[in-house]
Amino acid sequence: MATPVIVGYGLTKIGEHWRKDLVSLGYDAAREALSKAKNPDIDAIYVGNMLGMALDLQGNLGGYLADELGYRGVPALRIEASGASGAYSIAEAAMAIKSGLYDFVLAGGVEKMSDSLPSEVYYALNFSEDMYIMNSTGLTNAGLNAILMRLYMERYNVAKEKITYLAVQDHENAQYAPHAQFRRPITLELAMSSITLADPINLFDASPIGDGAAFVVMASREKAEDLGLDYVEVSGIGISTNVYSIVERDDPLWFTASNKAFSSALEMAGASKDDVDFLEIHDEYTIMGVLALESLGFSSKGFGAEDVWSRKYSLKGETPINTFGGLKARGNPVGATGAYQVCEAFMQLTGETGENKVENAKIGVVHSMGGVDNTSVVLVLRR
Amino acid sequence: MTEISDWRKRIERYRFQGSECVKCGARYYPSRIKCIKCGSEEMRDVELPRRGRVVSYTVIYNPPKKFSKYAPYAVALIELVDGTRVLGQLTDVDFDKIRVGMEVEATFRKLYEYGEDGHIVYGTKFRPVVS
Ligand SMILES: [Zn+2]
Repeated sequence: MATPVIVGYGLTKIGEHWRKDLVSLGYDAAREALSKAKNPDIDAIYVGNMLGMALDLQGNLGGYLADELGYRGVPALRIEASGASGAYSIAEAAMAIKSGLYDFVLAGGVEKMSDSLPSEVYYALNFSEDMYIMNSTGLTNAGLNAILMRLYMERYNVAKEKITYLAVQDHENAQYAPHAQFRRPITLELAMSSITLADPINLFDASPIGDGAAFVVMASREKAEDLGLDYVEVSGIGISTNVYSIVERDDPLWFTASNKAFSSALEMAGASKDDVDFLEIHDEYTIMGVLALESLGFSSKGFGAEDVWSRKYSLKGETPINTFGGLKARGNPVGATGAYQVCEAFMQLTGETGENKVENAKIGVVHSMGGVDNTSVVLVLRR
Repeated sequence: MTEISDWRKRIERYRFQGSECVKCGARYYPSRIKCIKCGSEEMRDVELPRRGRVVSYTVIYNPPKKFSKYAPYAVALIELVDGTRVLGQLTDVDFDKIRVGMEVEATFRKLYEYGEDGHIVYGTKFRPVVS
């Protein structure tokens, strides 16, 4: 079987791109990735995107972007798995390369959120959950996560400060990330006193609304070596789904899909948890990040927030996470987010990091979720 | 959701009706086609017990568009007396009086209205049990 490798990446700064639409934003990131990979003959294109049909009222994005990029005739597909769309499209690309069917695949994600009113964006983001439940209760994603956060605080007797501290660390890591949406450090006091979205979750516990696109070019290792391209290997792929609604899960605070995806990805990579040098985790809300750290096994149950608070996961800590600011500070253009995480892991492993360097990083893990662990994708990247 | 999907769900919403697995007794709200506990497809409609306790809750200040005019409102994860867990809005309660463990009961209420014609959706909310 062919070994899938990443040979180039491209990303846009995350923020409000008033002069760009969905496709032109995707074009910029894809173009950059293709140039870095020395413009190979692309065999297929996968575009991660969640909200295009809901906010931009544009579907069939694969063919649209392929045509704009000048790849007429190339198979192209939009992949949607809510917040995991970008990581999922890269996982699909890796599997296609592994199968031997394709030599070069362009994969990533794009999202355009700032054109729509926040209330419309929040409604569309609900689509990652069971809409019958959301529509019967008035719940939002922030609301679901708030229910989990309170449950966590009550069960383990944890102060909210220790959960929210993850946002402070994200902002700290984003200061030197040119592509991050928020590059300004924040204090815990500010994070704790921001407006409430869904009690106890406030603005700084939540990832922001933003536009962005990120793509990678994947190849088989053989082709990359033939062409003399520098590469990072995608050595493990894990994808899993969970019981859709949190109410029917044996334990709503345990992300079984993330756990399973991580085990499968490690097994495929022939690696163990202790080999992981850094993690890019899906902290759409601070509590989600904490629960992910526990579900992936890096913190014991009930100690995720405590470990964040004691800086186990800071850039200089035992296992650095979200080395460019995570979803909170780098940003969360939903369908592109997983692709940003993969680009960042690539940057870490190739040393293109500036101030954010994790020393001697050989293995990085990307964890991406659609909804509250409804679909989880884990990729193990190795230099 | 469209008017027709609201019509399809009307009995479940009005009567607080879920589904019960004939084989293992697991109950679900909303209803399921297949039991995720034992895999059986033999399910029957069941009216759920109307009392339960708050396991966790939130107060929504930043609602989706459809619920804009109702905010702020409280939503809770509730464990019914038979152990079934459901999500529902809390009503007739001061937010600062909501507690984990608080006893609540199901009550028939308007959920929201929408569209140019003011289509009204009714269903089940939960209020504190007054002893
Ligand atoms: Zn059953």
